Amino acid sequence: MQVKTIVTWMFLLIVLGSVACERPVEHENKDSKMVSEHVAVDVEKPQRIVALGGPITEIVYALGAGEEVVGADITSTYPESVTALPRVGMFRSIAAEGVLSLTPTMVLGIEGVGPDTSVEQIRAAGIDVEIFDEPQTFEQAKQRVELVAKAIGRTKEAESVIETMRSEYDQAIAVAGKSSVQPRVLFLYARGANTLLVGGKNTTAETMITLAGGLNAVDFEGFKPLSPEGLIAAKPDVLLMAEKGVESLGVDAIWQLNGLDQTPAGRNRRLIAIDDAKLLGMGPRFGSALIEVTTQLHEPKDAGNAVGER
Amino acid sequence: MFAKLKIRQIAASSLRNPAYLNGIALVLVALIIVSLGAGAVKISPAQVLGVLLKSIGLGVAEPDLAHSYVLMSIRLPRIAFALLIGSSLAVAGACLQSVYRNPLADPALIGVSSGAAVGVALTLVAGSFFGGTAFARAFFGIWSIPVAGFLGGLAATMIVFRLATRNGRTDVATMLLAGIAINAFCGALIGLMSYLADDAQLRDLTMWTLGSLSGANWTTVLTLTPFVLVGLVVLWRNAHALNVLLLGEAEAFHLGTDVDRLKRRVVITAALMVGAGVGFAGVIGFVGLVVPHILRLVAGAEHRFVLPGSALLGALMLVAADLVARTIAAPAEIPIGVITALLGAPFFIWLLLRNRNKWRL
Repeated sequence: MQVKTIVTWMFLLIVLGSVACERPVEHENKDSKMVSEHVAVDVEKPQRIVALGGPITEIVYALGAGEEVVGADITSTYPESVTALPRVGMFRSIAAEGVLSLTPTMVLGIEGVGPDTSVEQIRAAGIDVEIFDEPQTFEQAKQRVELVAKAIGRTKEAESVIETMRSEYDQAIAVAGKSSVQPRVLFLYARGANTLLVGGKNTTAETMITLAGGLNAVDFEGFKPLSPEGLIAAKPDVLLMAEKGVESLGVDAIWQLNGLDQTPAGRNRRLIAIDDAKLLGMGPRFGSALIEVTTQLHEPKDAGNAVGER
Repeated sequence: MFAKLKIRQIAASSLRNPAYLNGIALVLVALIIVSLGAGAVKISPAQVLGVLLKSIGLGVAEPDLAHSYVLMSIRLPRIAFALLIGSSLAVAGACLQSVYRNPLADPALIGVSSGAAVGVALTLVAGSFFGGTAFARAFFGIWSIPVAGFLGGLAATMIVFRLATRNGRTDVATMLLAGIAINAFCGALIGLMSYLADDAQLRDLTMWTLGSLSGANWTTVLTLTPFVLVGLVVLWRNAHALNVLLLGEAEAFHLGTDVDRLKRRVVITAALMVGAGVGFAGVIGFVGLVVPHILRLVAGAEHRFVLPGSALLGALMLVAADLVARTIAAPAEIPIGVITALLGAPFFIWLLLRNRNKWRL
């Protein structure tokens, strides 16, 4: 009786598996053909877009296609109206069915969208998935806007978005150019008191610091954990942080970090805090983020009050 | 003589209960059907039936293509994945509890989960320092994480097993302690990796350690199937020997069981099948620990009941947990490891309190 039961159920399992296994090849082909036919018609008609990654969502909205966005991931927090949309989780861990349930006609994603299996499944369902490389420079940031615009058929709108980015960028560079000093800036990435990382070479934060006419206070690659001695050796004049990082620590806790009072930044209480997505997203707000960094870096209204302003 | 009598008693008491197995199986089938119909994409039972009939060539109406894709290429492989992983975790847990003669044993104790986690952490984090991640990606593609997890899990288990084996004899107490030591060591390595990880890597690592079945497709299911089926068969064939082992190692030896061979088989089989699953789905806790206990609580410790029962109930638990994981926050998903413990623990406590008098291993 026992053996029979097991054998029966194992058999059923195998049958269930094999019945299903024969199908997908044929299915996928049929599917993608059918769906891609009506996607490829033209890009002009209203799309149903799922946007994954804050900067991508910002770009889509800046291009005036906000109405066409039917879903976004949890890193998309700007503009405000995005937060009312269905959330498909974090862009690095999306579920294929969740995305498909929003019946998108295209999925636009930031570099790092995954897991790969989910992306493959969405593609296999005939949905166009476009992933855009992370920009390292201002030129590439503009290019990304152009590429997204092309994908959603809004190249005309892209011109004015890029124009704004360009003029804000120029404005910031002009401010930086007028300054005779090159302050040492330390980018501190914080997620609570136990996760404190410093941004070194080849990070978005460094790009912003350099463009704003500052000097990255550290010269190692990527992100490294903060140490009190390293902090003192870096001798930063100013701390740069993302707002969420400041929140996670609390402003008071920042000034009590070990070693900070031995640095010019700590003695003068100079902290620049800027919205995370704005500062690090390299999206349409690239230029205005740069203006904020530059102004606070070179024309502090009142030393010690840089935070109070926000 | 006395020992044999005791075995008979155990056997007689539980073999009266095949009804439990059929009951669990019936609930499992019902749950699979519910699972097929539920998810972020709304598909009515009639449409599910239409797609299924169509897929075996009996369809009347042409089903919606999007629906049939979601059903056949996303949901069905996922359910199959849950069946395979759930049953392998639970059966491996049941056998290890008997080999260790310790109710706290589960697949994690032989180091397979933490070893796998180290493999994955190294691939995700340390690899990026030496270009290793790029290499692994180029070489194994999307398989780099499962392969790293599988190899890491096997390596850790082999170390634990080697440490406890001398002159062909495996000492269970040493194996238990070696397992704890290796787990602590792996924990330290994972800690180091998460210290070095950047935000994105840390996020990936955390998600992996919470487990997810969203990586399921027919390729992964077909890869996993031989590991699990062979493992289940091997362990099932040792069910009687495991019964004898419950009497004690010396007793089992004198009754003609090759105890050391039995231990070796169980540990290696468990590592192979759990390691393969962990590589694909991450760490899914609790199933391997609790499912065998539930069965022992309701119907006794006879392995010819506990093993098939674990296979069915483990599968059932994971299909249920995955159903919750992918529907409760749709269109987003909750890690399945969170669900198994969140729902499993209170249920287990309730069962424990109800059966306080009947407790036995």
